[in-house]
Amino acid sequence: MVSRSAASGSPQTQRQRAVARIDQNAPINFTFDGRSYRGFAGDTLASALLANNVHLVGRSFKYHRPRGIMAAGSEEPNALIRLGKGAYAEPNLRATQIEIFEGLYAESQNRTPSLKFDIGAINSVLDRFFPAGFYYKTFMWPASMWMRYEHVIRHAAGLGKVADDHNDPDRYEKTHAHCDILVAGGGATGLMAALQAAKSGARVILADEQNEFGGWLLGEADIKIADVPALSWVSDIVTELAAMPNVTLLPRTTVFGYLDHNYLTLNERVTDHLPSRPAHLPRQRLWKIRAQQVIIAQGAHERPLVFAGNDLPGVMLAGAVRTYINRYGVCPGQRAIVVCNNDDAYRTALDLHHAGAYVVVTDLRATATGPLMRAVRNAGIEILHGHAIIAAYGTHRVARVEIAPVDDSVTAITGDIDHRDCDLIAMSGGLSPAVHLHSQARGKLQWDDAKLCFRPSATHEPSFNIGACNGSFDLVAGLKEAVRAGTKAAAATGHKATTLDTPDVQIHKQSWRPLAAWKIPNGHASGRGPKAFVDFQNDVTASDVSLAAREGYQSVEHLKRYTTTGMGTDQGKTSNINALAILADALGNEIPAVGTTTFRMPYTPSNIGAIAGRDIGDLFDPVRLTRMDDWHRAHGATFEHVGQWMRAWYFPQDGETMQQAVNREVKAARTTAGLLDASTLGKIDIRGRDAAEFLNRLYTNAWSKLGIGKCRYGLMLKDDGMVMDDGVTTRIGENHFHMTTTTGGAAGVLDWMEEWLQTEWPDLEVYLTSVTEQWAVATLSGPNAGKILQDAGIDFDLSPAEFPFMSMKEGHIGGLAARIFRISFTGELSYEINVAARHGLALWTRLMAAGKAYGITPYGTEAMHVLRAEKGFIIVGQETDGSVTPHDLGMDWIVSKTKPDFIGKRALARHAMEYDDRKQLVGLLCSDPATVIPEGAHAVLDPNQPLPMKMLGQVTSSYFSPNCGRSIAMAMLKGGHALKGQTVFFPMLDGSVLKAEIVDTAFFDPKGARIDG
Amino acid sequence: MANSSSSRPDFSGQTALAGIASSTSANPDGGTIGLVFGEMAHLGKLNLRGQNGLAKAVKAITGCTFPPKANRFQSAGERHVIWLAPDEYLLLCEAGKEQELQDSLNSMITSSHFAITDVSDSLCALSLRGPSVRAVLAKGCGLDLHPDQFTAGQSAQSLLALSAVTLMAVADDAFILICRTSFAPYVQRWLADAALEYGYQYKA
Amino acid sequence: MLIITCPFCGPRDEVEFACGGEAHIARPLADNKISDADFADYLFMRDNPKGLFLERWRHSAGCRRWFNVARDTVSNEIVEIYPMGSLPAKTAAKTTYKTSWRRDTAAEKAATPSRSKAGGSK
Repeated sequence: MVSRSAASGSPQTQRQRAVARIDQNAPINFTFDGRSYRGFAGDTLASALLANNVHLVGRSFKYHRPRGIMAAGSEEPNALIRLGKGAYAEPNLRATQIEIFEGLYAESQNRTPSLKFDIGAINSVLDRFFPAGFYYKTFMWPASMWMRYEHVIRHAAGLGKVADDHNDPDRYEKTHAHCDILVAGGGATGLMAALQAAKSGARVILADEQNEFGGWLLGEADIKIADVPALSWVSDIVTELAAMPNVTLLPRTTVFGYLDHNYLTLNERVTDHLPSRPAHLPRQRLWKIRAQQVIIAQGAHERPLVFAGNDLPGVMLAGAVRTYINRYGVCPGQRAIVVCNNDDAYRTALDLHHAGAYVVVTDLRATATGPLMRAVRNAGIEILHGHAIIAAYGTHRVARVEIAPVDDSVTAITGDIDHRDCDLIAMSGGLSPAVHLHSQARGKLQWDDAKLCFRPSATHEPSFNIGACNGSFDLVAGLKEAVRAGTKAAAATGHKATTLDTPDVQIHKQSWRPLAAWKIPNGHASGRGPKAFVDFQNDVTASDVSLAAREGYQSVEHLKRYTTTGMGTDQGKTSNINALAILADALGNEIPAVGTTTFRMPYTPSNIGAIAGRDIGDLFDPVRLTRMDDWHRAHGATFEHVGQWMRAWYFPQDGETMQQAVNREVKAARTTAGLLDASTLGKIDIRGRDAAEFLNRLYTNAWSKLGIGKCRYGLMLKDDGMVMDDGVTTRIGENHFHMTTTTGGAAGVLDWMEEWLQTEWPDLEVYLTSVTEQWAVATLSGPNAGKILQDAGIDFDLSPAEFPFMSMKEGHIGGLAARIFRISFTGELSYEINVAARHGLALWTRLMAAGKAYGITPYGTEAMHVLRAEKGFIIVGQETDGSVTPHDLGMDWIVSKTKPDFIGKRALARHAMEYDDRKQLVGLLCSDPATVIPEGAHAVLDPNQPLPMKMLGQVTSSYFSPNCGRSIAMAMLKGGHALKGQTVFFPMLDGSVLKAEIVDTAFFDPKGARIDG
Repeated sequence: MANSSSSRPDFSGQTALAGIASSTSANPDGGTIGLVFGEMAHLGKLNLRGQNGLAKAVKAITGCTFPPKANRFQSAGERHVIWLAPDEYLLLCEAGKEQELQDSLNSMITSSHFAITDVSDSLCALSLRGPSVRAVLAKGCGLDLHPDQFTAGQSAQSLLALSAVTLMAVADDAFILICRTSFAPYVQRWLADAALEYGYQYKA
Repeated sequence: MLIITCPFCGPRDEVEFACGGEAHIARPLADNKISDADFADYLFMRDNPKGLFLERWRHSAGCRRWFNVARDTVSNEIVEIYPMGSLPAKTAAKTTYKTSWRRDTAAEKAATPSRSKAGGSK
């Protein structure tokens, strides 16, 4: 019955027999560490490797000890491999969960240069020097050396490497789902609960991390449910559920996070098991599920026993051995020792025996009786009661054990040591309910002193724990819980169904009370003798835990961080309870008093790609474009991001540099006319009886008397008196205003205004509507602006008498309805022309055509910045940073003295506002007119003072101004207003020092003579 | 360039998605295309604020009754009134009708506390249809979109991936999606991407 | 992620909302004569309790309306949701309101006469 393959790769010498879940007619070739192997459809990488008699699959984290496959599921701590090549490579995957496919490529990790000869294993010889906390103790002093140590340590200790090419080429998706009842875990109890719930008509989602439903039953051979083999019962239920429209079945899906208010996150591995991944399907899909009720049926994890050499390849969990035999038809060894503190492992002994292995049972308990033991004895299997494996030996695989009689509490060796040869140890230290999801959701735990495990007590979210994860290891008891939970959960969501009968289960009766034996003696003092591992993934030994306790790390959370036990990709699924128990023993305390560490998501590692989903590339963040964008692109604009908007930055022509292009644009706006796309400015329509009063409270200046059709500049403060936003607001009608805000501030200002209206002044009758995108805006600026507007077909009189500065008129341009604001951010004659957004491009092209004869020049945001700086106009967020008052900006003129209140008024009267070392806005002229002082440069009064120098403040805006013919800058300097005329210095990184005179901020046309063109 | 008002501009102007061409991706499994979608070009949109007298005026002028409760919309032919907030509604109307309706409403409502604002160019409406429309939306929207939960006539403001949206269920397999015009290209791209596994057709 | 029941739109995911911090902070007007230190209680001091907390939320991706929430910061249980401008009705939330240190501040005493109701403020 041994399958022999003639093709490439070694024969599957350990494949024992045909089993339903392995298709021996479907051979699959794969590569591990450069060698070809063959497995079958239905295999995991672990089962296929074991079939090929490969046990050594990795090196350990710290000591680089040889490690093998220990488990058969997601709790596997050792068999972490790197799957795939190049950009597709993914490290730290558990071989026990990878379904093999044709051409699979895998490598072992953490070994140099090869798995069998690993230079890092020297750490194991030097183990005396690597106790718990070794790195902390040794490498922290001197602190300056840590960076160097760290590099070496990180290389030597650690897990797999990520792909060299950091662009993950796979597609990942996310989706939301809602259900009445989410069942986490599709083993016997999960299926039963899902069926009970689904019969009521409730919307049910059933998720399981394995590729098929059935849970641990998939690894059993001898169980019957409802008089049929357990897996027939499973497939009948799955078939029934699959046919129900209110049920969603999610195999290969791990519920890895349980958050507030029954929000759960799941990772579905959609195409991981396929040899090629269809482009239209995601590799993995993140499910974000909101459930009314949750039923947790996560099962339990078997615990290892802590004996010397327990980490050798060939030392496996007893339940996993059963799974490899029964599910995969692979017997992982021929000479097996079963070592246990409980009844359950006897079933492994039976299955090993039936698979043809030679078996000895070493039971830590002095006595154990019952049908299981009888069956084992009747099979002729040797049972050694009151015995323990005190040490296991081997190089790359276990080869020999020392067995000795032990006292009742397994603390002392009581007789002679017997040596036995073996190639497999099946160990069982009892079961730990998987309380992870329950605990993530802040459910409480209680210690069960009979079953020796923590199990759920009170739940925090609306949820139920059933079956093994509830500490109900007996299948019949678990199924009863399942029916009860399914019924109650359905009822809680308003659904009802007849209660299903709990099916009969045929299984050997067994006790679920293991013997407390946390650390098996080996005849040596603690810290001496061969290592007995508690946490396999993090190389934490029993003596490490005891040492940490002696050194004062008595809190379990401290223990975890000091020894790293329970960390890593497995988060201590197999190790935590053993570590706790050993800690409790060292402290002379009870286990429940020691408690557990906090359980956090994810339950198993989840790919970050699935969390990002499709929010990558051009879907990473929405890019907002104006209606004139096509024109800008067609005319060679370069762009800059302003919030989510893309704004034209400058329009280089014929190989111009940025500086040349900006100079040209800035010049044109002052000599003829420039055209700016100002569509992104925030615009808010304000209507209502109290609109003017509302503005009075919002802005620092007064608004009641603003005439209809008139515009006014306003400064908005937060209630701490600091400048928040600015803009021009226009009275359209008695109760109707049009506000503009900065581009970046648009959304925030609207929210701010709504907040005050709704929460502080609900008595005001005002409605706000965002019209930012309703209007496309072109700003025409320069001495020829009026003529161009005339030629473009404006239908009203533009003379300053009829249409003065700071007013608005509605009219038409070439038939396009427009609102035109005579406001200026350049100091030139300027019109902000608003048309319905759909006509934005038409307006732009019309103005460009009309301005052609005048040399109209489109300009971008950089020229806009220079033009306003020439006038000394501030930009909120550039000159200001949330700590700047109007006075700091020299803008006292805009703060009303007469209004009883406005936002920020009281704060402006605080004593702290009068400090003379507040940073204040000043202009700067560099001593070298060709030098532009870098923005952000810090000013000092004396460049020769000792370090650290006394900083005065920083340059906020700095440009070359072609209209002034020299560089100009603005800065926020402590007590700046009083420093006018003085010289300040800017020490640069290269050692040079720039020098500048403090001046007024209005660099160009300080009298404002150009405003009417 | 001397101008005269006789050269009439193109009043239709450009829609939010004017620059995006039609595209199709077949259903990889064969069979029906999962999502057929396109811009409802130039649909008129008025934001309505107010309480007293607003409902009466809207009924009289547009023929639409106000939705009886939150998260609903009410239709009369091509016109829909969508509940947005306790005193806020969105009126969708035939292309080009918005100005006339706005003027009529302004003149009919006597209360001082109301606001009718033209947001036709501020918002973009997309029509979504197909057997996979709910599955596609669920990839980006946290609302429970099960046909028993989000029935025809229901609407909601929520998020679709990184964009704010208003969703209106027109039928089991048909929605109207409204977003800001500057987010429309993102939403269009997102929908096409999310519908890849079901196949899609985007009609410009 | 929380489910927050918007008083207008019904239960929605937390991502649709923005938290506006502590509720029931009465705002003194500029002509309320209080010291800088007292004013600082209004401007700067915010509670961060372990347990029940009265806070303001806004349904930012929905109807954009503000409302008050009484939330337990330990369990994340939402005990009560009540309109802006009103006080909580449930006993525990009421007690939280009444026993807040803020009730005794000069800032609140100065501000309260300018409010029609004690709850009618940020």
